[in-house]
Amino acid sequence: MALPAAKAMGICNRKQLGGDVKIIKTISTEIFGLFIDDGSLAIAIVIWLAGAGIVIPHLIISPLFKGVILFIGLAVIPVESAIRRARR
Amino acid sequence: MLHVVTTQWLSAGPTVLAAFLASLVEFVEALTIILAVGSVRGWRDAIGGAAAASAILLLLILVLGSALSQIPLHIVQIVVGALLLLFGLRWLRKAILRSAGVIPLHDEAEAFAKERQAIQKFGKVRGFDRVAFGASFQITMLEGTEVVFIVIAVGAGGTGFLVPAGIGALAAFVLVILLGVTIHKPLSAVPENTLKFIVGILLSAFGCFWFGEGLNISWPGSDLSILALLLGFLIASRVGVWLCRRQKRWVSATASN
Repeated sequence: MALPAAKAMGICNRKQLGGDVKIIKTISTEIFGLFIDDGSLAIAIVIWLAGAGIVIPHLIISPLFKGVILFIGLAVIPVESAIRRARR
Repeated sequence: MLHVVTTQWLSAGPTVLAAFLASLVEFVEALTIILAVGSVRGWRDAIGGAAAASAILLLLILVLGSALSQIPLHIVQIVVGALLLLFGLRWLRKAILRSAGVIPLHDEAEAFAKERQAIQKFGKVRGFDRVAFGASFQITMLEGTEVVFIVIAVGAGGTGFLVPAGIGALAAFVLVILLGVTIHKPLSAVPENTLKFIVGILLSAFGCFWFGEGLNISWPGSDLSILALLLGFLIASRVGVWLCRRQKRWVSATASN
């Protein structure tokens, strides 16, 4: 996820103080974007992890099945999200 | 003894590979931009900006590495696992869509040409070129932060994984620098989407494993279950590509009718 050089240069070309603030803001936004670019995908992952974190420790099943439950949700989420995108 | 060495290698192998491949993608992207800035504005300040950012990132690794050891391991595993999953599943989704032809593949040579063209619009200066330094600095900071995150994320969840992860990233750094210095062109021959596919699978498998460890799930076979998770995410993503292709064909057929 490269930041376009021309955009970076445009920011650096501005007055020093405004440019510095803008550089920090741009880097922060881009870092945030590392984890979240598709809102619904991120929300689905967070909901699944939160649900798994609450429910799995209380399940009286073998550790293998606990792992399988966690994995299945995480494997389905990106596939479902990709299919939804392909439908557009 | 041989069994212990083999098991340790099997445990560290995916860590080295994940850090190497993920860092390789980031370094290739950074190299494309630094080459574009350097070839138009001059190498001294472009390399200076990249070097300054690298020094700050190295400091960040040292500070974060020592700070992480102060936090209880299961909290680190849950946080790092969740972040790895947000990062890895996002890459995996994009790689599925690119493989299925839903979104276009990334072309480093085209990106390089576009960047060069855009940069040429900025006026040149004599002496210290703040713009070239700043642009190189910013791009290295951004791509480098991703590498720092990847190294810490794949390495911090378990005891003794940080060094193999660091070795993987360092190997990728040396390889990209050597190739960049030798061929002086963007590394367009690197199969970026295949790499992103593999890295997405690796990061997702590590994220699932660390998150599960944080929840006190006793994975069967301990670290070796990462290999089973890798296989699981590989199968799921191949099924995803197949389903997306079918969906795309169906949408095209519906639109043409």
